[in-house]
Amino acid sequence: MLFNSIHFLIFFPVVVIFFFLIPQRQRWIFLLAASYYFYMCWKMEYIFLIIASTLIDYFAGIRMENVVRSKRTKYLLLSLAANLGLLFTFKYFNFFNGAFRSAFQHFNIVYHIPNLRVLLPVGISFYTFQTLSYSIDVYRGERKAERHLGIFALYVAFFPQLVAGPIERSTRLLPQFYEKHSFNYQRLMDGFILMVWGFFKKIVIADRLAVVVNHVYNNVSDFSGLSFLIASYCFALQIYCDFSGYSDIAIGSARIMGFDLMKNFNRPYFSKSISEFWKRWHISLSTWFRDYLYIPLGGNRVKKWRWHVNIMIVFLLSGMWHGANWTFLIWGGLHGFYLVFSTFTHKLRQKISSLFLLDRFVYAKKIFAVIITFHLVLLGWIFFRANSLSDAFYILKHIFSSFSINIPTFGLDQSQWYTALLAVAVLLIVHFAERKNSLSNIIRSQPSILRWSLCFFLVIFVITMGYYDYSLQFIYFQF
Amino acid sequence: MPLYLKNISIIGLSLLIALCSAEGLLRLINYPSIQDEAYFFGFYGTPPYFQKIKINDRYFYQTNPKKDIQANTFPVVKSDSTFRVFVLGGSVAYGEAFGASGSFAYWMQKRLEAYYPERKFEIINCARKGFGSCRVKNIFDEIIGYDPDLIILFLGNNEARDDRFHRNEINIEIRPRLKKIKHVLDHSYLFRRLFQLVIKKRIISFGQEVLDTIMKPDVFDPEIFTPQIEHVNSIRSILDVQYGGLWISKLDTSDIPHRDRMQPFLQQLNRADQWHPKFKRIFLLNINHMIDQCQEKHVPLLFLGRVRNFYYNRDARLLFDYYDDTNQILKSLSQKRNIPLVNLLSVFSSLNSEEIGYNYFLDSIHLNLLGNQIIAKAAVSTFIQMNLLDQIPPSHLQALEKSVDLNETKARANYTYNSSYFASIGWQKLICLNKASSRKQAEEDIVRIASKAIELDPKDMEACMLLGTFDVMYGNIQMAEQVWKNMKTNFNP
Repeated sequence: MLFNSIHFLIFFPVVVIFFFLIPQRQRWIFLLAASYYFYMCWKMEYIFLIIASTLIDYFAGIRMENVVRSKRTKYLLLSLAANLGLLFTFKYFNFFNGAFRSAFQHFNIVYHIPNLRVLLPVGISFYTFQTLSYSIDVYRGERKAERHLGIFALYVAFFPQLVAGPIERSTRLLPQFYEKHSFNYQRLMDGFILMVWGFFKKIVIADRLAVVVNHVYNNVSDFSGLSFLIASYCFALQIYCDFSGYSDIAIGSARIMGFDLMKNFNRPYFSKSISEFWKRWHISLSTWFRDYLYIPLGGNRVKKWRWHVNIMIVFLLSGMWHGANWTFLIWGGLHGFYLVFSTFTHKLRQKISSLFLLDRFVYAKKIFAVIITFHLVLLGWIFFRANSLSDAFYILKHIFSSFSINIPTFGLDQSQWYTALLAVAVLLIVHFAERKNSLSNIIRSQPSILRWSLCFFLVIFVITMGYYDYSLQFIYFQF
Repeated sequence: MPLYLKNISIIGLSLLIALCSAEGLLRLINYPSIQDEAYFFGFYGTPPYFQKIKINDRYFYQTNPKKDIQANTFPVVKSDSTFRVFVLGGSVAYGEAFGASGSFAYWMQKRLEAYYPERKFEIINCARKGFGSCRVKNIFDEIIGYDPDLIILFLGNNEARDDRFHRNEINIEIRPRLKKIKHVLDHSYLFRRLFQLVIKKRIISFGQEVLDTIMKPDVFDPEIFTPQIEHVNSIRSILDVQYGGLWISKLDTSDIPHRDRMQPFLQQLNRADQWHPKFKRIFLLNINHMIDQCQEKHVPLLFLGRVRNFYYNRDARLLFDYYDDTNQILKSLSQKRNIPLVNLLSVFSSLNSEEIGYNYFLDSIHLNLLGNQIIAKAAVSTFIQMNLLDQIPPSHLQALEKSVDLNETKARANYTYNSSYFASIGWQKLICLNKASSRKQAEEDIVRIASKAIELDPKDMEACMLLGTFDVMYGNIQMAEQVWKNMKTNFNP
C-alpha cells in the first residue's frame, strides 16, 4: 500500500480510530493484523518472508539468552544467515550471477546457472536490518530477548516504517508497544502536520521533479550540458523529498498513535562536510552501519590505514545495501573516498582557510562549505540515479559541454515549473526556519487563527498542487 | 461569546483565509492553466468566443485567443457585397491535421472566390476539435448575432460521450441567486483544480487515452508489442494515434505487467452502451434549438451529413455504433424542418469506394486535403442550389472548375494519403510517449528524434515523414512540400 494512495487515506484513519477504541492489551493484535494487511496489499505471498524472518529471530533471540555467551554465536550466525540469505537471494543473486557469467564468458567457460525470476520484496532491506539489529543487541547482551511473539512480530512489521524505514532499534521501539497510548490532541496535530509536510515533499515536489529526472536520465543520449545539470539538481531535490517525505509520513502516522520513531533526516543539504551529511541523511541507516559494522571493525581506534579501510568497507556496503548495481557501489565508494580524502586534506584546508582569511568571515565560510558539500553529494547522485555506469559516465562527460539556450521543458509545462519552483522555495524557507524549532512547534506557537490558517493552507496546498502519477512509487521502496 | 462559538468562528475564518490564499496562489502561477482543462471540461465552452476590437477606426470581431478556436477576424458591420458563412462542428470541420489552411472551409473560400470574383466571402471556421452539439450550441448562440448569411453545421462525431460530460455541457437553468455562486466557481482556479482531481477526465480520443494513461514507462514494453503491432499493421487496422485504442484492443495483453491498469480503459473501449438513447435526445434537442434560432432570425442553415472512411471502418464497428443514428437524426430533421442536407456519404460513395481510404481520408474519420476539397465542392454547389448565390451556367462552371488550382492540394494530398504516414507517426508517438511524460514532451521528442535521424541518415524515410507530418500539422506547408520533394527524389515512393 502506498502512503500517497486513496487506499491509505481510508486505511489509516480506520486504523487510528480502532486503535484507540480497542483495549490496550489487545491493541498489538489489531496493529499486527493491520501491518500485515498493509504489506499484503502489495504482494500477499511475500508476507511469509516477514513471518519467517520474525520466527527465526524470535527463537534465535530466546535461545541466545538461554545459553552462555560463548554458545550464542551459532544462534547469531543462524539469524545472520537467514536474514542475509533472504536479502542475497532476492536482491543480489542475479547481480552476482550476472557478474560470474560475464567473468566465465571472458574465459570461454560455459556457465549454466540461470537468473532467478523473482520480484524484489518491498522493504526487504529495511526489515531484515531491523531484525538483525535486534539479534545483535541480544547477542551482545545489550537487551533482553523479547518473549512475546506477537509484540516481536509487530516490531518487525510495524506498518508506518515497514517498507522504507526509519530502521528502528529494538531498544527504542519494542518498549513502546507495552506502553499505554491514550488519545492526545497535541500528538494528533503534531503527527498530522508532519504527515501533511511529508505528503507535500512527496506529491508536490518529488513526483513533479521525477518527470524531469526520468525524462533526461532515461534518454541520456538525447541530452547534454544544461539539461544534465538541471536534471541532476532536480534529482538531488527529488530523492531528498521522496525519502524524507516518506519518513515524515511514517513518523507522523506513528506519532498520531502515540509511537515515537527516530528522526531520519535533519536538513542534510545544509551540511558543511560529507561526514556531517551522513549524520543528517538517512540517520537510521548510517547509525546502523556505525553501530553494527564500523565500530565492530575497529572504527577510528585503529591504525590510520585500517581506519580508512573501515570507512571504505562501510560505504561500499552501504552502496550495495541500496541496490545490486555497479552504480550504487560506485556511489558508496565515492562517499567513502570523500571521507578518506577529507582526513588527508584536513590540515591543508585549514591552511587555505587561514590564508584567504576565511576564518574571519564565518558565515561566508559556512555557506561556501555547504555549497561545496552539496555539489560533492550531487556528483554522487549522478551515479545513484543513472541507469547504468555507461550512462553515468556519459552524463559526466557531457554535463559541462554544449550548453544550449534552448532548454526543453522536460515534460512539465510553464505552470508546472512555477509550481515546482514555488514548492522548492517553500521547502527552503521551512528548512531555514527549522534551524531552531520543528515545523509543528513553529505552527503550534502561532496565534490560533494563524495556526489554523496555516494547517488548512498546507492541506489545500498539497491537494491542489500535487502531481498525481501513481506510477511514481517511493524511490526507496526498491531498496 | 461561548467558547465553542468562538472556536467555530476561528476555524471558519481560518478556513476562509486558507482558501483565499490558495486561490490567490493558484492565480499567481496560473495553475491549472486554461489550456490544461480545455480538452476535458465544459467550463471552457462558455461564450464569448469573439471579442470586439478596433483597427484603423473600424470595429472588428476577433477570435478570443483564450478560446482556442481558429483565428478569425471580420468586420462588425458587413458590407453589401460580403457573403458571411459560419462553420460549426468538431475536428472534421476544424480540418484536423491542417487547421486553417486545409479545412473544407478554407477550400470553400478559395472555390467561392474563383466563382464570384466580384464578391467578398468571409468563411469563418468556428469548429473546434472534440466539440459536440452541446458546446457547438454555445458558439452558435453567439455567432447568430454576427449577421451570418449562412451557418453550416457539421456534427455527429462527438456525440457519444459519457453521462458526466453531457451533464457538464447542458446548460441547466439555475436560480438567479445561485448564478452568482456559479459564476464565482466557474472563475475559481481552486474550484477548477479540485474539480479536475475529483472528476475523471472524459475520454475524447481513444488514442489519446492510450497515450496518456496506459503507456506509462513501466507498462508499455515495445519489445512485447512489436510483433503484434507488425501483425495489426499488416491488416491495416492501425491508422493513427486517434484510433490507437483499436489496435490496442486487439493485442494480447496477458504479458503486460500492470495490465490491470489497462482493464478499465479496454472496458470503456468496448462499452456496448456507449451510444445511449439519451445522447440521441440531447443531440436532437440541441439541433432543434439551433434550427429554431435560425428560423426566427431568418438565417439559412445547412447540414453536412456525417461522413466516415467506411473502407477502414469494417474493422471499427465498435467506435461507430452510433453512426447511423446521428445521420438518421440529421436526415429526418432535414425533411421535417426543411433544412438542406449535403449527404456526404452518397457524395463519397459516388467516387471509387475501394480507393476512398487511400485518397480522401487521414484515418477513419478525418479527411485529407482532397477529401476536404470534395466536401467544399459539394457544400458550395448545395448553397448555390439554395439560391443563396447567383446561379452559374453549367458551361461557365466547367471552365471555372479548371481554373480552381488543385495542384497545391494534390501535392499535399499525395504526401498525406500514404497510410504509412499515420501508421509511422502513431507508432513513433507511442514509442516517444513511452519515454516522455506528456503529450507536449512527446511531440518535442518526435521532432528531436526525427531531426537527429535525418542528420545521421538523410534517407531515413520514416524520420522524413515524421518531420514532414509535423510541418503539415503546424502549418509549415512549404517545408512539408520540400520534404515531400526530397522524399520523391530519395525514395521514389
